[in-house]
Amino acid sequence: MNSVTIYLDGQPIQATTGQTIWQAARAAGIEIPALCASPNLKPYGSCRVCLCEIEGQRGFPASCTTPVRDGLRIRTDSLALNQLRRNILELYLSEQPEDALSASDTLRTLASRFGLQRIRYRRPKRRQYARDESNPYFAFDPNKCIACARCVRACDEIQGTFAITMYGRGFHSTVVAGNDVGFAASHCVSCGACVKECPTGALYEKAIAEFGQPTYVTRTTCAYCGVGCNFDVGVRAGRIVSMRPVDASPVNWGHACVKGRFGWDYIYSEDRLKKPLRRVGDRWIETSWDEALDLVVREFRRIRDQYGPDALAGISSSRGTNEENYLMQKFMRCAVGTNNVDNCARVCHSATVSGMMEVFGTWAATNSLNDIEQAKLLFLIGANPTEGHPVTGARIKRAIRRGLKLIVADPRRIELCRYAEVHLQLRPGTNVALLNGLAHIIVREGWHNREFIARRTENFDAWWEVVQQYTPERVEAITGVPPDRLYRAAELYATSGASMSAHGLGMTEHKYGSHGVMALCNLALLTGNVGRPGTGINPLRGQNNVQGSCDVGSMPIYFTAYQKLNDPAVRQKFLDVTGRPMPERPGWKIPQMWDAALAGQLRGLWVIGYDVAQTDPNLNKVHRALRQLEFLVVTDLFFNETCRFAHLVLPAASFLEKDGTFTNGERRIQRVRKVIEPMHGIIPDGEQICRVATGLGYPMSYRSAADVMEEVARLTPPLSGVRYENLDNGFGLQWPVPAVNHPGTPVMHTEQFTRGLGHFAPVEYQPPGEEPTEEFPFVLVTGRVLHHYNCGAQTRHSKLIEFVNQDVLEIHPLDADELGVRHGELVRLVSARAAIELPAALSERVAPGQVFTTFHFPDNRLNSLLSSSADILSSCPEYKVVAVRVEKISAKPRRVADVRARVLA
Amino acid sequence: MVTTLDAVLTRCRSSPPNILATLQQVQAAFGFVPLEHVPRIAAHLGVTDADVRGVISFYHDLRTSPPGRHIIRYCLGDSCRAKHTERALTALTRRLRCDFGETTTDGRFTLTKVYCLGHCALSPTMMIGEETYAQLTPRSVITALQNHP
Repeated sequence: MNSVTIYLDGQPIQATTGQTIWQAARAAGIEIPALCASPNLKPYGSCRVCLCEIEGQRGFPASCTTPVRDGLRIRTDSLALNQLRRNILELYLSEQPEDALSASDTLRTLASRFGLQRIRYRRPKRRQYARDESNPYFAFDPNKCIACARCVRACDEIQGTFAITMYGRGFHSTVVAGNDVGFAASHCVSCGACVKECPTGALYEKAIAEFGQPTYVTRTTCAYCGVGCNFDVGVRAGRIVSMRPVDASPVNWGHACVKGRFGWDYIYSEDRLKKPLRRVGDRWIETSWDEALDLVVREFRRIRDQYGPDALAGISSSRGTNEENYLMQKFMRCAVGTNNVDNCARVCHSATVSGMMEVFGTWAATNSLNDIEQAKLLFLIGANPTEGHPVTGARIKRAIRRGLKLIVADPRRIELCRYAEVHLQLRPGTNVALLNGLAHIIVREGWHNREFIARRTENFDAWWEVVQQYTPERVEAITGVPPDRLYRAAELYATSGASMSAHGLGMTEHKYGSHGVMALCNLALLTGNVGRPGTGINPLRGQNNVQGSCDVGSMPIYFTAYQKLNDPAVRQKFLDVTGRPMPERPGWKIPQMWDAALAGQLRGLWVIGYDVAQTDPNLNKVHRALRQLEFLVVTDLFFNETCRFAHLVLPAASFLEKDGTFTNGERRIQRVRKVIEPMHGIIPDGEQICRVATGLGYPMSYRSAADVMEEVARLTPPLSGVRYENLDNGFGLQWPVPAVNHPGTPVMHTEQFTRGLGHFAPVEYQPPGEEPTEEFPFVLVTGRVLHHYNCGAQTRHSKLIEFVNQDVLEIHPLDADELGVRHGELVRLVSARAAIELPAALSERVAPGQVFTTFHFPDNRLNSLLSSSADILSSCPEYKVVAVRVEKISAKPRRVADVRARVLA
Repeated sequence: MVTTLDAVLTRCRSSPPNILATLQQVQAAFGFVPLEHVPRIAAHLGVTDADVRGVISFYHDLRTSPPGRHIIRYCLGDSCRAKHTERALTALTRRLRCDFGETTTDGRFTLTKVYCLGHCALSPTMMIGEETYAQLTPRSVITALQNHP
């Protein structure tokens, strides 16, 4: 890239060759007025507003398409230019509907800036198209469209979906969605990129239309998935009216998905819990906060005094802030005196932790999402980013256009398979065999990085003893992946120069999930693809704060940052800070809590923001365990399934109503800011905990969330430099942050691994907990869809429900044919534990012999099908492999709202 | 018709996919591009519905409804205009009782406009099917129709 100098209205500006004049000016902080140009899109040159004059050239070239050259002398502001601009804006405005003339979008703002006061055309032509209001969150008024195609280009260039297109020609040209079917019925994923780009208000947010433009914004971090997108929350008259993605965000770079961008409306749902509810017999009685918190204190004290502290347990939420999670574990350890505290990370990425600990000695993503830009190859295994982590999914698509190569290993033909060089369609539960098979080929072909292995790793020989048995033929027999594909994938991964891997719950939620993660880490060691930009092992975290809730110690067998319970120095440190000796007996993990409750050992439980009665496996057992409890208190936004078993229900504050931090999947600690006061007088979760602790004789109080973080920093080596004032830098901080003012660590293990040498972990393939039998011939895999999030507590109470309002069973057409099942027909799904009913959706995304469904809706009690089988090391439940049979019910076929079929068909 | 679409599509594989050429093939087979086929055409080419729909909307020659048995391409180029083509055109539209872009109720003719057929020396001109008619008058334009039952 060569640097050149251009002169903009006499002012010298440094630019880079390849930039346009408009881009160079913008980079220097000078905004040349434009309608069709956007910093997020490629040059287009249609609106003619950004005209300029160039010394020595005739006419008025468009600055947004004219490349810079050294020494160019450019005028962007002259009488002639502004006259031209005014005339062009007048032409645009003459076609706008009359009622729209007072709005405040870019077009009208520019018009008033250039002094356009009235339109001289007396009988201008106007179009009379119907508005498209089919999308629940935004609408399109074609009559305001100026055909600049920013929306179409955003859909293509930013989101990579191309659901909308320019339609027709000339005066009549406008935008249509899909096959002119309206936004809702098209492939549109409602990411909102088009709405954000629109310069005329033709595409507009319904909430803003209803409540008005925001008068101020507050920056915060999204509370959905582990990507951790930054948003500016717009407020008007105390009401949140919009959430716009932040352009300068190091995570989402101005992009968003439907959940984060629009799916925050649940906070205004009528269904939200407003007052504490106490169970009296079969009825729920509203009670005051004082009474409610007092009841928790009384019951916890009674149980502790009667049965000892270990009869109590707490489950905190990976959706809560770091501060709340820290307070919860401090409450359990110091105020109650037990290590019985866990969080929902147990059921998603705990296997990643145990796997990565073994090989690297650390428990988090080695690299950053931004490394996708530097990677030459992405190995995606057991993750479906376009549904689960949509902003990362869109980013992967963009990277592929620039030349990133992609390998997908997934039993399903997920959307990204379309862009993949190789799709390794393995049988569910055979990850270890597949990964060992890849390693086998890499070593046999001599593609491994001998220098890296010698310098940075240990235990290679013992590992090879195991892996050399995984010949392509044997691997094919186990996984069903043909050797030629395996070979191609191995070659790509080993020889790309920078191979990055990203995995999701398809790796972890297995009986041998930890082993799978180890096998993946082994591959990175083998090829030297770790410790530098564009490489590494990157778990895509399911919930917003899975990473953080574990980092701050909401775990039964570790303190913060996985410090050991029995380390005397650590214990002393905690004693010094908290004033209480830490309990010694390792606590129960969540699945063990259910056993303990059934055995009468666990009697009191506090669950915050986690619907165990819907999302834990083997639901019937969980329900039995919950019924056994003497006292169950649930803190949540909504009256969830677990509340049905509770004795006391406390309302929670949403992420928009409190301060704190989330740590995203790339270890980035980011601020969550209180945008509005907690509604209905709700006491936020953290304060609830502090008040109960104080009631139990262990005073806990903090002036602010920042104080909590400071305490965390004192106890937690990788976070010791984290201070709130340093989190306001616009980038957050990626731990390790060993000292205040340390810039954070985007890439880990550059010089050495946390444990010293990378440890090749020899792992053998072992069959999953259940395999198909004659009685249960299908393998059931569970996962997510774009429009919903986990148990659906938030998304089911938002307008997202208009996109998808039920779980469906994806079944291959061949299997459906054999069973005589038609699309949309209700079928019965039977496992050894239970039977449920749900509609079938015929789809070639699943392989024959497999069925897939989501777990967002509680009614069908999907997880009652699952066994208690879990990862042998981390107790992460085996959600991904269940043997089932599908039975036809002779009922009338019911219509299925299968949005996903349209996205991928 | 369903099998025919498949037959047409199997002939249209290329990388990168050629949407326009595929649509021309579809139109050659059916006389027009049935809009309900857009999702299948898109899926076959590995592009989106919007991609295909946008191309259809851009090219005037791509029709989305069944045309008449004969397509009249009536020239509105400069030379024909200079030779008062509107006189013959008025006679034609009166007889056909349809306007540009429309098909006669008996399904015999579809009237379309073009800009220059390249026979300016013999203006005004039009084509019916593959036949070219020149030096049109209000009378000759009607006679021409009779050649195309």
